Amino acid sequence: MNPVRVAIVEDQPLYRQMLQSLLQTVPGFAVAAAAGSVAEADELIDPGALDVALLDLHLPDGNGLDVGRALQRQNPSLGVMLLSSDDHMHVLLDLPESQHQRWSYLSKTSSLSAQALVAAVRATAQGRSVLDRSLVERRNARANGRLAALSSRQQQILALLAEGLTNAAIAERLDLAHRSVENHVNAVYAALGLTGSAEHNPRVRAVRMFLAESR
Amino acid sequence: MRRPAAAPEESAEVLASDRAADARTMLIVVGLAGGVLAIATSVQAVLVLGAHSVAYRGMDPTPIGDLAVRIAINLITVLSAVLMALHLRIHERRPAAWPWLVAAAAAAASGLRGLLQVAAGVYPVADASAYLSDASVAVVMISAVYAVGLAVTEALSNARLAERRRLMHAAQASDALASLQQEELRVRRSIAEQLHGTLQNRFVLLGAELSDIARSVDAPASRRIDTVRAELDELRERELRALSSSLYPEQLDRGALPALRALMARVPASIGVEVDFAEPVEALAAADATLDIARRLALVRVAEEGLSNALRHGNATNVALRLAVDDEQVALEFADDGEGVAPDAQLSGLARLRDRLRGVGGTLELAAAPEGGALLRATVPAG
Repeated sequence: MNPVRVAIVEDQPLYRQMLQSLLQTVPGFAVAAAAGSVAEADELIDPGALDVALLDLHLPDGNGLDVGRALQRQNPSLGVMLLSSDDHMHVLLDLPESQHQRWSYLSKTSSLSAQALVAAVRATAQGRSVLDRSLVERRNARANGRLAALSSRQQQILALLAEGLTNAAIAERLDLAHRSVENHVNAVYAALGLTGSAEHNPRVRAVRMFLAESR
Repeated sequence: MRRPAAAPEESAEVLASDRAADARTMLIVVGLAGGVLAIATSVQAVLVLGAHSVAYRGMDPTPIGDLAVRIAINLITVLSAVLMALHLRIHERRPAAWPWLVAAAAAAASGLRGLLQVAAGVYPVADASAYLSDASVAVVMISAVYAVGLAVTEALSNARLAERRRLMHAAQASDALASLQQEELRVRRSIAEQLHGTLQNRFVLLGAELSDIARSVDAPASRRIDTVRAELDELRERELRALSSSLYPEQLDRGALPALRALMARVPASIGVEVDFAEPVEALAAADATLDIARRLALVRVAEEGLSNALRHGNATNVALRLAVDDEQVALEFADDGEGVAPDAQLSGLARLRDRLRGVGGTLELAAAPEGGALLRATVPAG
């Protein structure tokens, strides 16, 4: 199996080295490039030879979101994982519709745990979007919104969708039958108004609603 | 007028137009005052004093003919005085030189006048004293006309320079203010960056280190360390972030839209938030990209003001942010469903904000929101 090729853009040298050594020690991963700034990233990263870009959201000469957008425009199958010290997940709402997928967001605290980092990078490489579990769990539905109208079970299911879990993983996490998870997920889509024939990807839309209407 | 050393930066065109204006003033004042005097003195001599110059030439003494001759001579004299003033550019010389130049020009003009009078036979040729006394009166009168002309020209020129200097100072002051504001923004941005980047990362790493230590000690100590760590995290995420974004709004470098979204994302979850960016968002984003930091910041500050009013005084449960764009401007509306604003409220914050908007060529108004609370409506020019 080909290794997952990862590029790291992080301005703090210590942090960058920690991420690099974490990923290098895990079988199945290869660090293709490590940069400390947007300028360095432009120089060192070849988006065509990359599966996941691991980008610090705050860079001295720019922004991880913009770097990720540019890389993904050149390689649409590229996964982008943003790293930040806290919950700035609202920046994902700035993405244009053509780039709603394959974007993950990990807090720096979580990224220091090899297990969480590796799982998130792998899922992102597979084309999923993973939002940091600890950040998602701390979010609450905003008053008077569509999220607030969901039942607590539905809110729980939506949070797990936001974490990037598949239906099977949700079933395992909640100890439910697969069929029952499917029903819950469909109920969430219906409650959020995402069941029309125009909805190609209700999962992506539901997660964006989660971001827009929770805090 | 004399070129003052205080305005060396004026261009050659400005200097030329100033000279032309001064010469025009001089011409008009000397011409008018001299012309009026020329006619008035002729009328006085012929009709009031009854002088009959033509009699000396042995012709019929008709007052009208005599009057015409005297007026013609005086007007030619005035014309020569005007031409001399402009040719010598008396008004552009040092005031110390004025008396001599004026006396010389006046003497020359009245000399010319005397010659014309002799030619026309105004006085008997033998009566030299009549010519001389008339000429000395003429020198005084022409000098007086010059003096009036110089005084008026000087006054107008000074007024023009004072106005120009006032405008120049106003422009310099506003330049200085703008560069101060830019410098302030730069410093704010750099401090916010430090808080947000470097300091936050240190906190994260220290937190991880604490967790490591907590695992290697006994349970009670470990619990205490975990508590400290949780507090550190809280400090980092709430205080540090709030400090950083009050200095320089999050995402402002990326645009007003991302910054406004970041602001609205921080509204407490107990408040309903509607963010309505007009479709197509691409057009809005394109207009956003043309806004400089000052205009973006002005828009964000309006939303901040609306938000803080809604939360602090208005008891709002819902707020709405709407953003729209046309060819000329980006328009922002911030509405809440709180108590609204009392008509006599002291709105010093709002006045400051309005100044800020005006400073970037925008507008700000406060109205009643359809939701029942206050509605802030702001525009900034696009492009």
